[in-house]
Amino acid sequence: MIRIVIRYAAVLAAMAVAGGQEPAPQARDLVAIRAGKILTAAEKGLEVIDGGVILVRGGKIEKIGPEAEVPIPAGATVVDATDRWAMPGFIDLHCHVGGSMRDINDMVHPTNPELSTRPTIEPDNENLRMAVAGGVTTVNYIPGSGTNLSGFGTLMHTAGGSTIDSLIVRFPGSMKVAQAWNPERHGGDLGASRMGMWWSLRKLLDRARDYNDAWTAFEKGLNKIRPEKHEDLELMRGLFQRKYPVLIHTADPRDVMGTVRMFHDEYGVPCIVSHGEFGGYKVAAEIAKRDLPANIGPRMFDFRFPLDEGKVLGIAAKYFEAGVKHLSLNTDSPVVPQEDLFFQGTLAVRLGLDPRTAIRALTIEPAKAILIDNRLGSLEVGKDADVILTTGDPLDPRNYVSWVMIAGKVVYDTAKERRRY
Amino acid sequence: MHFILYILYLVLVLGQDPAPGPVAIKNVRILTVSGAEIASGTILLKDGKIEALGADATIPAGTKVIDGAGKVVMPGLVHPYTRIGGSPSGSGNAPNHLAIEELAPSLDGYRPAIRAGFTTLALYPSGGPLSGQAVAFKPRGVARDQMSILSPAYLRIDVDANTQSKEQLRQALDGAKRWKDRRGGGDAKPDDRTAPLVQFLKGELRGLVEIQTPAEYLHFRQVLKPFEDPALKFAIVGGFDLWRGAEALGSRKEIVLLRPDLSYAPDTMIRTNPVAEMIAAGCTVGFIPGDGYALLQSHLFRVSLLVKAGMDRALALRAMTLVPAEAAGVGKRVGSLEKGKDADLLLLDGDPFCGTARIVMVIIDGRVEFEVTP
Repeated sequence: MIRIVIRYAAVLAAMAVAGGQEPAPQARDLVAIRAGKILTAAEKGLEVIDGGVILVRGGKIEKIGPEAEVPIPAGATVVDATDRWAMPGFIDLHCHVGGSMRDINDMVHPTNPELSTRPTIEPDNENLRMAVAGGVTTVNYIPGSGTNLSGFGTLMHTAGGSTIDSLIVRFPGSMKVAQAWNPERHGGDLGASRMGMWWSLRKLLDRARDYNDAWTAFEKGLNKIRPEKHEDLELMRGLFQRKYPVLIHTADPRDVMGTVRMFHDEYGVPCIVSHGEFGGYKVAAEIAKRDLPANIGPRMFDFRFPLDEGKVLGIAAKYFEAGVKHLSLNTDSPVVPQEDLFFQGTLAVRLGLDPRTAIRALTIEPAKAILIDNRLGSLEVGKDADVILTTGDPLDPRNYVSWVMIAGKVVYDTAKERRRY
Repeated sequence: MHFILYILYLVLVLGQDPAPGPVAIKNVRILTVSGAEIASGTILLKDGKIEALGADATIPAGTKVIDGAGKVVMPGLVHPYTRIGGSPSGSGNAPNHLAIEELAPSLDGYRPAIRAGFTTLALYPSGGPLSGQAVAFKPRGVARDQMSILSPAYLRIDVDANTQSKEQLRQALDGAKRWKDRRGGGDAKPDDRTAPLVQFLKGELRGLVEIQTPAEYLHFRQVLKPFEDPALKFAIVGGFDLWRGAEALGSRKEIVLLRPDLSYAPDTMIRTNPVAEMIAAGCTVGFIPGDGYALLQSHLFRVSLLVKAGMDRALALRAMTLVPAEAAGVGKRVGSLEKGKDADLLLLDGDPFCGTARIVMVIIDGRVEFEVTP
């Protein structure tokens, strides 16, 4: 009996001690990341902070700044990364690694606005695991380019959840259109050449615009007759409401120009010019004039023809020089492995782009292009805490990503698990 | 008679480029590959050779001096398995064929290779299973004999896992073995289809064997078994799937030349690292870039990704230079920076594995063949 009492007392004492050490309520759930250097990718305030602190609470960035200006509240969990660089997680707008590659090309019709990648997501698949190790925290997982309009992509996190829904940042991420350079090979009976492709896309966009107008009028009470429901056009309404963009797989000057004319000039929907290879940079000034985003890759170089001693052109630099301010880079993974998104930046720099623009092209610019920069793409107060730590300049392959936080949750830490990449 | 002398004069004098004067690069970080790295030193080139290198090598008067501060010098890259300049059609089963007959001096197609840092290449004869003998060459010069540095460089073998291919190879080796084992017999010589195989079996001529799959490797080893000899030397050019047989290759310490790529396991998106698998199994790995412009241009980048994925830096440097040079039989002349070796080197504006470094100068035989205009 006495023994029991003693034990009980010991337990009580232990509880009292633990209680005494418990952090103050306001510091609970607070994570403080002390980093040697922070690349914020922010458009307001400091872009580079030497010796900074990021305070994270409830999955959001509460405070960020130089160490002297951001005191760490007592009781906060401190991530000591003074020998690391911190930056926003990278974002890839054009990739196919959310699930299994076999699920991304359902060629039902020449245009398939009723399809989406959402049900095909496989959380925690091997490629997403590698993506995290490459610092990629958000991907726009889009269908392939087998048809003119292959469906809707899903903007998703690469880790931090075990279900499809828990990974989704926004659905739809974007609509996916392929303007030539693939769908013309197998578009069924319609859209086998550029004439057919252009026709069937316009036909569909016309219908979708009318559909959106009719429903918008009905919802505002301007029209009392309830319009007929068309499931295949439902998601396309979001384009005309500017909730999400259409991402267009396109290349070469003719098709890039066709893309710009159709989606921006004629239909006025938000659009992203993706790939842009095979000389597409020659009409980059037209993209710049309209202030449209370009999403370059997976090849970072074009060869100058006729063969001029094998000189190579950096495409990203060419777009930038032509005045395209909104530049992002893609891997089209698995064409280039998802974890090598950083290396697309490296190559772009190697071929003439300045490093600051390259970092922005992996972070804030893709976020802006896909209309999610209110949440992602930079380290700023109020944004989601998608933070990566690297051993140095992220564009240098001799460095690596050592720690990844997605929405305030640590999803990768090389101090605790084997380095994946 | 005067005419003949004139022709001789043309060939001997005009045909030769004027010898470049001595050149020194100083204050430069030197990656020697064969020895220790020199953090800051001088490399002196004279008469197309490396005259001296070291932290405090003296520069004689009259030497053109390049300041290499902040830059890096490394040996020129070696491409041991190219068809650049070769004709598109194969020559079938013809071990007697010499690739030197196909060399194309002054070919524009070599320029991209030079810009990408390749200073020695080996042209292999296409066809199979015994397609002929390769030539190791420098991508400069106006006559094939100026270009060639070793011919034959290696006997090229392309094994397929089928009866016909194996039987052709077996018969050829059988014929050669009879010559090899022959004692006495006067002046009789093997015919020119058999002679290279006799040399191969004696270890006088290296082999380079293209093997795509683990099955092809096992079939090749099976065919080779009765002819094995410690002197026999060959390297393997491996296909993307060969790593699955890494254990078998590693147990024999094979020298394997691979594309410097991480790839996907067949029918999956699971990334594999064939180079790491081969090294872990005990093989010596060298790199082959492939012939496309993009492949040549991206060779250094691709290797830097392997370094990121865990490959030892020193091994990665060797795999681009000395290993392929040895596989092409010219390891004594090129592939590392050593006194007396050919003055083939690259000047980079940063570490070769930093991803953004550019090759700013390519020197072949002491002569600047490419220079980035400032």
